[in-house]
Amino acid sequence: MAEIEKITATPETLVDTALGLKKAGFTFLEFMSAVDYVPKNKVEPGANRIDAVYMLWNPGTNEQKMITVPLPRDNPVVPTVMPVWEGANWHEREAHELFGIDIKGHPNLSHLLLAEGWNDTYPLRKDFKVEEVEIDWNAPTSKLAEGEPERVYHFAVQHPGAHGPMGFDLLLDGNRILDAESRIGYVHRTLEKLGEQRNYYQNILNMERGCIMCGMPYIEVWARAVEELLGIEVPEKAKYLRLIAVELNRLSSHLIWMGPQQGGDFSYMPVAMWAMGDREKVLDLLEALTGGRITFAYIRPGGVRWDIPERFREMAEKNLRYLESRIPVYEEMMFKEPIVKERLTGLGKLTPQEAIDIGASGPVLRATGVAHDTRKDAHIPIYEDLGFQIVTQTAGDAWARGMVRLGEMKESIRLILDALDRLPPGNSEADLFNRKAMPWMKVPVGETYAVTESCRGRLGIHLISDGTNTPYRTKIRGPSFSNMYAVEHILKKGSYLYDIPVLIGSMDVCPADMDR
Amino acid sequence: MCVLRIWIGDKMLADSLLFKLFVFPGTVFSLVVVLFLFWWWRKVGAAIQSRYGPKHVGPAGTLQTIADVVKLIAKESIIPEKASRWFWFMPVFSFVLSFLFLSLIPFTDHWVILDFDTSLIMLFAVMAIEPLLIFLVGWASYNKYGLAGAERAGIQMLAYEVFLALTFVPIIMLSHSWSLVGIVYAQGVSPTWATPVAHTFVNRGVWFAVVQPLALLLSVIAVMMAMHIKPFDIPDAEPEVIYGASTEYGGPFYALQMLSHFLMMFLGSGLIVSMFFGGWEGPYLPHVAWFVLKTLTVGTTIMFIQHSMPRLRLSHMMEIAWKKLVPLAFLNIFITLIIMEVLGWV
Repeated sequence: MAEIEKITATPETLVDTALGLKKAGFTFLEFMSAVDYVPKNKVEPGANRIDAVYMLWNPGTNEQKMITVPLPRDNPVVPTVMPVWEGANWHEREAHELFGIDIKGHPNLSHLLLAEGWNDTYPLRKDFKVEEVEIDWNAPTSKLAEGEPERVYHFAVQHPGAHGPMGFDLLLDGNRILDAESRIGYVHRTLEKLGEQRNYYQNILNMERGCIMCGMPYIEVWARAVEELLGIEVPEKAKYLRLIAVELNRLSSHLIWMGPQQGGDFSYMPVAMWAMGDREKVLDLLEALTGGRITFAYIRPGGVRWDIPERFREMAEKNLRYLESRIPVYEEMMFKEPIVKERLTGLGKLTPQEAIDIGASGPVLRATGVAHDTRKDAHIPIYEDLGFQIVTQTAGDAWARGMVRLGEMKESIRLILDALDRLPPGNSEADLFNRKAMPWMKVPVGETYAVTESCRGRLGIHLISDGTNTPYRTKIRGPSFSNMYAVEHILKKGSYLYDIPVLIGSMDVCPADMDR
Repeated sequence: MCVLRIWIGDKMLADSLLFKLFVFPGTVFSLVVVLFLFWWWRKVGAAIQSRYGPKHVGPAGTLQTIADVVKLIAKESIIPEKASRWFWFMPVFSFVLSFLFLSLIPFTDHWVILDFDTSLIMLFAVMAIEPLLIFLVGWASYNKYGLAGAERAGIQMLAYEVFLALTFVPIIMLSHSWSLVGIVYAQGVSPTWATPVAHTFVNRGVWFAVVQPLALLLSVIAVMMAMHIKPFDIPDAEPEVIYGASTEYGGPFYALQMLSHFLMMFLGSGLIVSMFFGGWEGPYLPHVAWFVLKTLTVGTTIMFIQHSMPRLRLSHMMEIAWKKLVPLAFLNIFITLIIMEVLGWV
């Protein structure tokens, strides 16, 4: 995965190229975004254009391809690729508001991440100035509300069932949903812009804020992207420690999902509280290993921050064996409990085809029977050595998603213990550069795309370096962004008010990960 | 106890209606019970969910409820701008209503405020007013989720009222009485009806819980549905409709609502005790103590169910109520009829 295979297209040939690639097996659109080249840039000096970027993945062969469409900076227009990949919908809206790319033929180009009344300034362009931003706070908040505002339910932000700062505007008939429009972007921090203003070292902290429940995969993929550009190989021991850290974080995230999120959706307080209590065991391990419980800054380009502490093996054995003994309890309490089973079975059903079209990934995709886990697909170090097994279910509904996560927890426990058993001796950090000089570390000009499996799905970082100590472009593919689009897709097919919280919960949508 | 011996006219104070209304089993006693029950409810929930529950205010957190109520009453009572002028009506009236309910529950045959031949029908009437109030208030608070919650309360009321009434039919048939006091008498050996009545079930010293287990099950479910107790707290399911009809109620209004909710929970358990567990009857201890003990036991059982269950989906609840519980209630009537016919009870 060193060099990205690029295909250049023009706006006229884009849809044909896309169709051709889709026929060739590139059925999964990871993201659609853009790169802004102002004349004074150092990547391609003198270039004055915006590249619309379509990152594709071939689930059959695990190939990665990228379509770039060079566009003039003053009037960039591309046709929509929604007929090819349905999941392009939100990505195109994002590119429209953040880069000012006009998407021809898009059904709804209203603001997604930014405020509704945002004027024609585009935050991710290189010549963006904050002073030019003006927001019309009286702009209508949603298209649904224009007709009959009395009938629109705002299932968002302050709603206890909205799973954080996000939600929907709903048009209801009794309990039946006639139409839904997502309201996201409440925690949009322009993480990508922040990434372009910080150096590679500071970006460790920046990237970790991508998702507060599951920050470790973010820094893992960030470190791997930077290492790829630097051309360093991390020591074997660091690879093991990274795996342990990421899988511990996955355990803690899945426990939050099972307890307060999915269990909380039907106020199933015993499971909610027990899962949070058991999560403490995982957090204790994370604290012993990394020093942090929620944010870690543990993985950094070149290796990991500190070596494994003494007696960590015994502690892990004790806590994880306990957790392993709890998993059948949760299975009994949660997934075999008749009321829960009744609520989850058949809810939010996705076919494998739909899931791939939307760009849904992670447990959502695997619950449909598609055996794709980026940990295996992208050959992330050590996983295959440890005999990593992909957990799948076939039903494609909320219950199957839960069972996939439960199976992943078992698998994570096994992976961590195996990794600890096989932990090689040696350094935990590559001996390549002075630690103290890291903030000034220059990264050679280049472009890379690193992916990993975060707790929620396929997480990718598209990194362009211009030879200085700050990246030129960092595009983050947050898995929750596409998974949330799947929620909207399911709601539009017809659903009920009482199913919304359970549906969002079953997708394990993290608002921070979604809005970036 | 000398207060109780004060004579008013030809009656002791303790026998007067005023005392019953305001001291026992009226206002003072019920407030104490509610404050205790709120604390107990939290502690039971905490134990099930491996938490501590309140533990800092007073010994083992017993005064936590008082602290909470004082805090809530000290808060501003916010009334939404577009709310109807009947907005304040619901919490206040539902509090009053729960006292009406209280007056019908016999603590003993002496400590009952209202007792007449058809008190069970009165009880149904009182229980049916509450959801109507909730519906009214969902509309009055000018809140979409309030209205959605009110609709759910209405749906749920329709679902439980039918089988609640049907469930009590066999009890009435067996006990030959429409009064709660009469039903308690029918289960025990009381001084008034000293010997078993010939050709009836009455006065054989057997609880209805033993002979009517199905009715017991159904009425516990019905009471839980009526009191909006999980898994039937669908009308105020937070993740779905925020707090249902009560979404806009905060501060003192909320305090009133919570107090009346816990009082109703106590009285619902009391109703079940009177119907199925022989009311105040019991050896050694005073009658009132037996009633309170039994009621708290039933209440704690309900709390156990409440704290260890997930919430039902609205449609699932209706399915259960209409397709399973209503036929079961009918079935129970027929089984009782057959048994009564076979045993020669009239």
